[in-house]
Amino acid sequence: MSSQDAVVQKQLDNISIDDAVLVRRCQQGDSSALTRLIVKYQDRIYNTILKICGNPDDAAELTQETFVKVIEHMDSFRGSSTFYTWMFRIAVNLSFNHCRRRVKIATVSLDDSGSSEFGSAKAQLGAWLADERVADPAFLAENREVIHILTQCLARLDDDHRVAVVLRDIEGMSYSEIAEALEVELGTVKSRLSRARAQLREVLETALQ
Amino acid sequence: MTRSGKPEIDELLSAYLDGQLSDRQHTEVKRLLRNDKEVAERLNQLGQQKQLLGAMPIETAPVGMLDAIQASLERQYILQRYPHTGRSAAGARQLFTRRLLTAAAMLIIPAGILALVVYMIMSPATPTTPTAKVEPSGPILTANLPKQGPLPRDRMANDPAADTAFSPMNFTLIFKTPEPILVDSLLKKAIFNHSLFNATVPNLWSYTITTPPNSLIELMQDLRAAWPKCQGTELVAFGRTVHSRVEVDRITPDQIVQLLQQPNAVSALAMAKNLSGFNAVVAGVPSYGMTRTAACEEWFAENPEMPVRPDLAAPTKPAPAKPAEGPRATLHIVIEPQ
Repeated sequence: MSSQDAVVQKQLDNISIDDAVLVRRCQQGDSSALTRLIVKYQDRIYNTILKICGNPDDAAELTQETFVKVIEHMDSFRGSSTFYTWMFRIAVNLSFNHCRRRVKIATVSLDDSGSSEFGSAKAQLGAWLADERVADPAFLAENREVIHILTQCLARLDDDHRVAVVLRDIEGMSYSEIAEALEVELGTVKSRLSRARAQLREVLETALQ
Repeated sequence: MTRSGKPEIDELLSAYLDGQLSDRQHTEVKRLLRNDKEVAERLNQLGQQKQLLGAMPIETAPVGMLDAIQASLERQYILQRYPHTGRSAAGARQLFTRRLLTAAAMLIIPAGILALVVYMIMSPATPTTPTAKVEPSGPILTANLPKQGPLPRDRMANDPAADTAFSPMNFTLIFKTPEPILVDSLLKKAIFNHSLFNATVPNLWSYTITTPPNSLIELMQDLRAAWPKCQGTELVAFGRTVHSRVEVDRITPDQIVQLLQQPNAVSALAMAKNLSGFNAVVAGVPSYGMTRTAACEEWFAENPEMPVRPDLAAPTKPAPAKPAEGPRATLHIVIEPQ
């Protein structure tokens, strides 16, 4: 984060302003409100997109594109959904389009994780999934190799399943927010999440064998 | 697939983990978990997986994301402010017009060049270059007028007649008469009969008539009556400079008609030169009752083929030459009372 971003973030920490107020001020041409919205959400948007598309460079570009689209269409935002889910809908759609353009992410091989450097990570992850309670999940998730394996496993899910599990388990959205962001029924969210978790479990077990 | 791996059980367990079940569903899942170890183990696996994903650190956006977004917005703004003009309606119209004009020019220019070439090939030869070609038009001088080709530039520069190639014929006819009032009356009558008022500028004992040569030829038919009333007649043919001036003494109406029938001032001036010499010779020929002067002898030496009696040289009278057309001729008629 740049020094300018840090200053703005500090201001945001001190002054909590509702999204709706910021959006209204943005619509009135307040550039500082726009800056606050960007700084507030840029990491969450980037993180979500990165988990969906799997590539940091693509994620940065898509994040930038997301905010540009958000700002361009700010005037057309009428508040029928929350700004948060509206913005994530744009991010997810851009990520989907990007995924369809490039070579299918699912073709990403897990062979890289078969090397010796991933050995310990695999062992730790396997023990964790075997309910051996060998490590704190937060400590385990700080292991770069573990993160790499998880990211690659996520990349092998179907697009709809991957997005659902990312929005719920990583971004922490509620079911209704996911339904808004993906413009699907609540029941669809439930079934997608269920299938996504089951599929991810299978992929992980395969990767750790 | 185990019982716990059934989709409907997984969906219930997934929703149970997320707290998205109704109270009744929640109670049923709790009862199921107590009675079915496989389901409990499945819930445990899903819970661990969820916990692990949730523990993944949040990746922060690259440094300068805010600046990159602002730069991208500026680019977008510029592109929107200056949209694709080539595709706008006005641009399309302008482009269409330019293409149309280009196509028209591509057609017209070659066609124009072709037409010019065809015109240059097919059009009749016209004296577009200053030529001094003298076309004999009457029986008197038919065989004697010098045949001249196109004048080269250096010759044109020295030839006083050359500059009259494009200039209108300009003559002064002088009636030397003891009966000026009668001659003046005849002149006025002739001008009246041929409706040349608008073309005539009258002055004291003089009239300047500017009209096409054929009108002057017709006028000369009525002016024949003035000759018997005159002691002498003289015609001065002018070029554009003082050097291109020829005086013809004892000019006759037929000779004036012949001069007016010349196609251009150059020919007229050349003919006037010959008539001047011829009239001088005729005046000195003994058979005419006159004495040859030294000047006459010299002229005969230079023009050995000049007929003494021009009318005899042409036994059959040729068809009258077509009156000259083209630029207006000016005839200045002066009455000199004697």
